Amino acid sequence: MLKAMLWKEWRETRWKWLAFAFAFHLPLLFTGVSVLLRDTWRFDLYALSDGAAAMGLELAVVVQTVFLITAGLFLLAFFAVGSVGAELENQSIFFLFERPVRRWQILLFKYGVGAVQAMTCVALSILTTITLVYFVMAAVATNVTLAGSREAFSYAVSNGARGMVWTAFISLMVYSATFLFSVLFEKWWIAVIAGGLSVAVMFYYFGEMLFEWIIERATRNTGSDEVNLDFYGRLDPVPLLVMLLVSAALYFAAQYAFSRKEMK
Amino acid sequence: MERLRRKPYLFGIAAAVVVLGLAAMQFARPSRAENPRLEKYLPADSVGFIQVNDLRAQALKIIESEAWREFTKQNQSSSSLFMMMANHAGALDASYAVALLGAGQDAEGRRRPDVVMIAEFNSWSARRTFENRVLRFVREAGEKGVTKKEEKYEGATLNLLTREGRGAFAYAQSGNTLYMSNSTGAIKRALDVKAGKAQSLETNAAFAQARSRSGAQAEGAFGFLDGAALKRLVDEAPAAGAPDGAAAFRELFHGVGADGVQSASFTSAFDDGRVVERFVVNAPEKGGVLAAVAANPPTPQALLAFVPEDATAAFDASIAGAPNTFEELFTLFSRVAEQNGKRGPADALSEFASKTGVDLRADILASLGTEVCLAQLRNEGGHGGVVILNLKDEAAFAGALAKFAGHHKRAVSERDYKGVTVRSIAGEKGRGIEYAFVGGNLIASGEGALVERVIDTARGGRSLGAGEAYRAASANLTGQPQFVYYNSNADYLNRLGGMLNGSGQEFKPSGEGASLRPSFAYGLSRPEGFYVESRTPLGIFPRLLAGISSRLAEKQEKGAE
Repeated sequence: MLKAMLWKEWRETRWKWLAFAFAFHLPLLFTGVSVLLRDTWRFDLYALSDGAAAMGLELAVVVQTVFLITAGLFLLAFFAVGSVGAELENQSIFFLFERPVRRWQILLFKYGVGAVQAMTCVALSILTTITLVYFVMAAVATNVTLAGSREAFSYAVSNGARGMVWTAFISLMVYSATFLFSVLFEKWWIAVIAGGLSVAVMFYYFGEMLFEWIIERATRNTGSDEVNLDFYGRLDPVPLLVMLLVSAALYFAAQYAFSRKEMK
Repeated sequence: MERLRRKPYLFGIAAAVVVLGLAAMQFARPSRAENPRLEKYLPADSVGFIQVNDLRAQALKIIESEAWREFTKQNQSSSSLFMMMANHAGALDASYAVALLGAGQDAEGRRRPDVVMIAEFNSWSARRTFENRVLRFVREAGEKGVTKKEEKYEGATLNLLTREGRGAFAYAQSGNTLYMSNSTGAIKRALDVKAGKAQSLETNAAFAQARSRSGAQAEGAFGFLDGAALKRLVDEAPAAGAPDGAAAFRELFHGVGADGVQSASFTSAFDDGRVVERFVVNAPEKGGVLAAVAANPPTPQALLAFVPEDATAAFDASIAGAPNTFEELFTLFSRVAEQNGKRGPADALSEFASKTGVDLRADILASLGTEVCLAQLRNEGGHGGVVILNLKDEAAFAGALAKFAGHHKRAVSERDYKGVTVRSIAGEKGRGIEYAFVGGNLIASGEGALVERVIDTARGGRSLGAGEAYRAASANLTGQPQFVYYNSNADYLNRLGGMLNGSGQEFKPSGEGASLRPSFAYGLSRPEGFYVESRTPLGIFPRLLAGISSRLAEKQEKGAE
């Protein structure tokens, strides 16, 4: 039965997940269109060399991360908002209640599948962005080759992995918050507003810290506009643990609200 | 409609098709700068002009060139950053033409050339960017000491800027075209052409002929000089009140035979990752010195068999006509000197004889053979030069050298190298000259080892002339050249780095030899004039472009500080 639940959640959300995975690459899409349409951008791409390929990859890591911890969080709120509310609104959840599963298990599967999807969606987007930029540079720039810029690629991936950890934890926290709203409010648009507001509030109070933890250390003290990925996303266990605890608290709050919720 | 609603991806595909279509249109539509014919903006009686087509396209071709690829391997980040700086300097999105329209007068009544620069930009924003970033005068128009006058002319606003009453600079814009000049008169003449009030250079018969002979429409750069207009400019220069040199220059101009030149044209284009440059002089009726030069027979290229195969550079030319050319020049300069009451070449020859003990005409020129070859050879720790000179009279030339040594009381020593006598004339600071005669040819160098290497080559060693590198480099040679030039480009990238240093990026000489194809150039005389062609890694002009771009970028950086 549990396997069937897992399959049901995956089947219901897989296209939405793919759509959001695509949406999380919007910076890449906008950059691609700009490169296609703007001579100066195209020229910069052509002018790259193996030695300067690291520059493009560093930029890709930073831009993608900035997107993920700003606009990406609002996007995540949209992704998470339909987790429970939609099934409550169209009353299809009552079908599940007829099955031999506990109420908390239903929510656990929904949360688990959604959280994994959100985290992979967000975190892997850094890796896919770096990889796509790497291949595009090798294909387009005259003086960039896959072999010649492999070292820069490995360097960007190995350092970008830390960004993946950070963004995965942040996305889990945001997902958990919006998941709670999805349980609390059956109307999806109310949950979206609540999710958006909570992201805005979080950003207002902690946005600067997010930038500090992930990006600013990499751009500070380089003496210019350059990025030093060695300092990018240095892992700090305290904020990561706090995010994990907040996520867990939000999840249990959602379970509590779900168990107490009157459903007709 | 309902079915469509159920298939939202159809809307997505339609949107993607629209985006791709727009992108394709963007690529397919040639920008104004890509295929310009800036001669249409210049008056028919322009003396000459040089045009660079679409600077961005040229910069891209530089990036794709064999030389830049190699250069990038040695200067990875610097080469990319250099090009990016040039990209953002604000000068790439245009085609440029610099033209000499004639001679005008400055505010103090002095004669000065009327030069106009026309830039046709891809877009309005590109033009504004150029104005804001590059034109110093425009940037400083509001500053103290700079006065600006505006005037409406043929629908355009003509601006004249002067800095503390001097250094006039005029500019006007018409659509995406920007006119810049040292005089408003020159810009007005160009605007007249645009308004249809005056004929354009396109209608000039000499220009049309030169353009068609250049053959290439997609060249990177094109230059044109109207011989008749140049002759008019020289002849119309007022003699009264002109500097002393003006009349002498006019005499020289005619004496050299430059008045027989109908037109000259220059093209520079990328081909197979390298630059091909062609210089064509159209002069079917040659006179004076030009006729003597044209009559010079082709070089036999026999001396290339003396040059070691690993030579880094070699220049081989015919000198069979040298005595005639010398006499023509001697007569011409004598006449000019006499007219101006100054020292003539006869005086210079006497001075030469008294200083060296050698009679240039009798001892040197009279003993010259048919060919000369200058080569640069690898030597321990560097390069050294060697001269190989074909002689008609070996004994006379040897006597001239002995006279020179005797006159200066220099020690002369002899040694034997593989049966050849190598003589050495000691120099003032330890650097003398070593020479030998092989088969009626003089081999001379500042370094004895190089003379020995040439002797070895002449005695059956591997020579440049018979080598594969030279054969491949000269494969495009057509006709019988009067001179050929070969360069292995072993040091090309270091020189390029040196040239680009100071552009905001540091290019470190690698000290390694580059694996570039050799450069080759040749020139020949034709019934209709002269023809010179060269194939080099980046040519003269793209290197100049790179230099200009770097200067602009530098200027922009300074402006930003």
